[in-house]
Amino acid sequence: MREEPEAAKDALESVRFPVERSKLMELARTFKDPDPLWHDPAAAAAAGFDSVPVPPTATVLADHWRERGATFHAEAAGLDLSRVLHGEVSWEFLRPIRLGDELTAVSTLAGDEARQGKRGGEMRLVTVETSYTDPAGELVARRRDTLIETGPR
Amino acid sequence: MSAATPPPVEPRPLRDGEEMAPVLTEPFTRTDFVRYAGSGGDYHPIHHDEEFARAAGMPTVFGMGMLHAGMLGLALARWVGPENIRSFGTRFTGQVWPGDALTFRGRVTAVEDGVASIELSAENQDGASVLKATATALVAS
Repeated sequence: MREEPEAAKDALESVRFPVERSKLMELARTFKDPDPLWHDPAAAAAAGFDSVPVPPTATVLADHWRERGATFHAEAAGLDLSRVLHGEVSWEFLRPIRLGDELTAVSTLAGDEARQGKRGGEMRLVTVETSYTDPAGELVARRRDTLIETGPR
Repeated sequence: MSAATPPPVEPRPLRDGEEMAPVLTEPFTRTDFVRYAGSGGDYHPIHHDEEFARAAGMPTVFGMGMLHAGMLGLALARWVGPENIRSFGTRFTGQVWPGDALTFRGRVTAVEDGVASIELSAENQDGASVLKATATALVAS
């Protein structure tokens, strides 16, 4: 794929991942909600759903397809993991994500600023924006993360 | 979180000021954190490696924000219907330590053009905030 030089500069990565049944089951159980409707098409149909719905944070399933998992973005931005906190995360859904979706997540470094920390030392605030598109190229969701690197101890 | 009542499929009628039934979690264990590492793909050692956490200046390991944000998100999905959520955003305001039990709350703050604005929160057993969130969801008029 051809990319504009400006876009390529801040592109962190692109990963394609399936919204798959076993991982949805694990996720719902981890969230202490073992209802089969979160992974079983028959249970979802019995509850009136056309397809299996997912928790709003289900885009985390992309992390299973990143070699280093959820810490990939912090490491790619050069942050010291021992000082990194997840500050904020938000999603916008253009349509519901469902079991069976095959999504491509494209992440970009949208911001990187230094700020004076409350307890002294310089904090770094890194913003990562990720878009999720389906195989037809339709935008399904957007996610925005703020990672905070606290000052050196 | 009871599995007895399925979440709504279609947008449900929600009015300004209406509240989600509060959800009280069990106390979190280190095993819960490890389980989320596996299901959510977060292997940051600060959440499972005691030595790493202490070397980073923490008293012990603590839960991933995405664990309790995910639980709150699922509670929201059970309330408004998973397919009706248009946005969900959280700010992490404090750590969740082993033994902490959280209370999730949600409240509609506005309804306009078939979309509800919702504020959500998570507090620990001492009343300390660990998360504040906002969401928008389709509602029936």
